[in-house]
Amino acid sequence: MELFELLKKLNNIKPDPEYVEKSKRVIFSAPQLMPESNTWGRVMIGIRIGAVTSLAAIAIIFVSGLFGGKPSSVSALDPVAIRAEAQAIDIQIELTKFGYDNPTTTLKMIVGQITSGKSDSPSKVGENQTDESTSTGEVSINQALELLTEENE
Amino acid sequence: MANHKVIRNQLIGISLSTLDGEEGIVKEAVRGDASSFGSLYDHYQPRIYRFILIKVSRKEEAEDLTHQVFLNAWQNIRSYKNRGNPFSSWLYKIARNQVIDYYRTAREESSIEDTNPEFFVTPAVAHTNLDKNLEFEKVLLALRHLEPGYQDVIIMRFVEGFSIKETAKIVNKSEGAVKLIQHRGINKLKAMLS
Repeated sequence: MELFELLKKLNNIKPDPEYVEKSKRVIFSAPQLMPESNTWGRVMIGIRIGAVTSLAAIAIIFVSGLFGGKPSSVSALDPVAIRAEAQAIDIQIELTKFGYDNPTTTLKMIVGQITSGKSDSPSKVGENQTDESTSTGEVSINQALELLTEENE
Repeated sequence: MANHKVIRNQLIGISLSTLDGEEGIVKEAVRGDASSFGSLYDHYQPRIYRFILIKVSRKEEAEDLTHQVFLNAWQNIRSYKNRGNPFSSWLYKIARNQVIDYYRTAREESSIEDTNPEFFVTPAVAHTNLDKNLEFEKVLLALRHLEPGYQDVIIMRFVEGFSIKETAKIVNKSEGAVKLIQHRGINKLKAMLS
């Protein structure tokens, strides 16, 4: 038998009549589901969501009002008060010692001590040499050596 | 007899896939009218049953799945929207999903050899000679091994006798696509049967 004839013969397959009646009875006794996708259904869902959101917002406002209106931390952050407080603070910084670890200065001191007899004072020597020695340390060393030579002579 | 009826209907232009005055009947059914849905049930239930039986091969499963298809349709008929396709398109879609779920959950390898053709074929077919029964078995087995897309088109075109246009509307494909699927499906069937 040809393929197409065999396929056409399959059209004779029919369900059992008893099963058909039973199935039909069961189906029609089942409740229909109400669609939620129609317009009225959507409106109802929208109303429900809106009501729940509004109630939640009201509840939050009520609870926050119940436990104190303005938190204390907020008042502490008042900019005017902060500025006044800052101005009232007396800031005094005392510089007890202000020195540099400068090898040239140290050398001048040594030379001053050595040549205390010739020079007026070590500080003066330091002062005279300050202008020249601030640029390079080599000049100070030369001067120091000259002074030492003079002293030895 | 059935073939003559199909040919006659095709010649006089009666659509095989739809019920007379279907649009109005569907509208009433969507409003919840049980008798309108009953008319749709009577018209489409044997087709959906055949469609499922060819795919699953077992009478009990076919009955259960067909029942489930129409139960789903009845319960969700109020959500049905006519998008220009025939009502049967919606039913076949539910049926396809039922069969997919069946194979996904059952995973049982049921074999067509286990099924006696007399068990599900009407006396007109069953009381033929042994050679013919063997031929039916072979065709059913081959059909079952086709991919679902080919199965659908071949069942609608050659078992139900729907036109290309009707089949295209039901499977929601172009007529060209249906012709191509039909051609390939038949070639595959022939290759399996040879």
